[in-house]
Amino acid sequence: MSIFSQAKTLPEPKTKAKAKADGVEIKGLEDYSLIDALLKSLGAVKDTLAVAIKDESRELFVSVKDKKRPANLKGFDGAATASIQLQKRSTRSPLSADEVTLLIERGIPYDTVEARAETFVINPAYANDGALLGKIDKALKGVKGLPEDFILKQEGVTSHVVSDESILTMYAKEQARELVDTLCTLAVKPTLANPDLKKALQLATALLNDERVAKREILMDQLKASAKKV
Amino acid sequence: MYLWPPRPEKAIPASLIRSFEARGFVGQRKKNGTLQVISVAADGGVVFRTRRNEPNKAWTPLPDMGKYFASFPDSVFIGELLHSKHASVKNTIFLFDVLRYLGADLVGTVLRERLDLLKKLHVLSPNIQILETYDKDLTGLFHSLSEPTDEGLVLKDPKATLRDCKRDGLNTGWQVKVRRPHKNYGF
Repeated sequence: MSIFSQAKTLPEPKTKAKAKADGVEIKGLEDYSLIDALLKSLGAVKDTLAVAIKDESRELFVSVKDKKRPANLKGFDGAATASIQLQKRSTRSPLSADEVTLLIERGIPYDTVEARAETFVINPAYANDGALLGKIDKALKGVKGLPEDFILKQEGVTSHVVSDESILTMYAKEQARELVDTLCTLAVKPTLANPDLKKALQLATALLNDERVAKREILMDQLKASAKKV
Repeated sequence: MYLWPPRPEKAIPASLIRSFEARGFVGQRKKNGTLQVISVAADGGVVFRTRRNEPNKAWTPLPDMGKYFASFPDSVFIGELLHSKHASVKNTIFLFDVLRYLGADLVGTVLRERLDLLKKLHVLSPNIQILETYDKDLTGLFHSLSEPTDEGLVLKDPKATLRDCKRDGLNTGWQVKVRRPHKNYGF
């Protein structure tokens, strides 16, 4: 029996609980946080505005009749243009077992990639033991006192991902309407030749403004102030 | 087959509710529980899973619940289970969406159609309720929330089309959440 065949399997890494941080005053943190909150709010608005744009683009991409993958679109509205792309689903978003079954049923090919290679690694507990590593370097088998768990086995993981062939076949088989959301990601990449930030701020202000809430907050401030006087 | 539930990922402050309402969004209370994907097989077998496609660890469905959902073969309902987080409410599911109904795949339908479908369900058990949908004064509704089980609101576009639920994350863009102030989070 070799130390490789007896190698123990590496446990999956565990997340350690973070220690509670001490409070410390940092100048500028409030401004940073306000801008962060503003960007997050605008990000949420932006995402909801993208739905209609993507719905319309999606319809254009799934309506092609020539059985070929369509080229990117160039959208425009007022001063804005955008490259609208039907991208291959990322390998970072592997297909689920149900989706693989669906693609097999529909005759759509996909790739199988090694997400994590099966390999042997040096146990980190001994990785800095220079003397030990020196002996190993000379003769792995001849080393006396070599720990049984010196070599650990990392198990391999494969995943199924979308390939270019998947998309070409989807179009060739005229199944874009049914499968485009499984195989592709719609990306809208807008550009403005001369961004009018004043107009952008006016739009953001209009979207974010709520007079009733503002009035309520002023009223609450007044009530608190008068309560303090009493 | 597990279907990933539509749910909001992005949060907005309460001051934005009005602008979303002006754009036609509707509101539902965001219950502070555990999201449930209730899948009913064609033979009436019912499976309750969390939003991460995992079984519930600290809850066993009441027999009546399984019996009720079994009367809708080949369907998938989405709801929020209140059981573990609040002592005052146990074994109660608030349904707020339906992705498949009696064999019909509802991908491609708009939210308003699915909400109308939910409204027509006859629910005889107090343990299963249909979450009410509000069309107006959503800011007022938000500020009136007082129940500890109400985490806030979810604002949804009733004209939004349901996209493929076999893939997670395709139905997040048409909804946002608004949380009530809490010591752990808030704008």
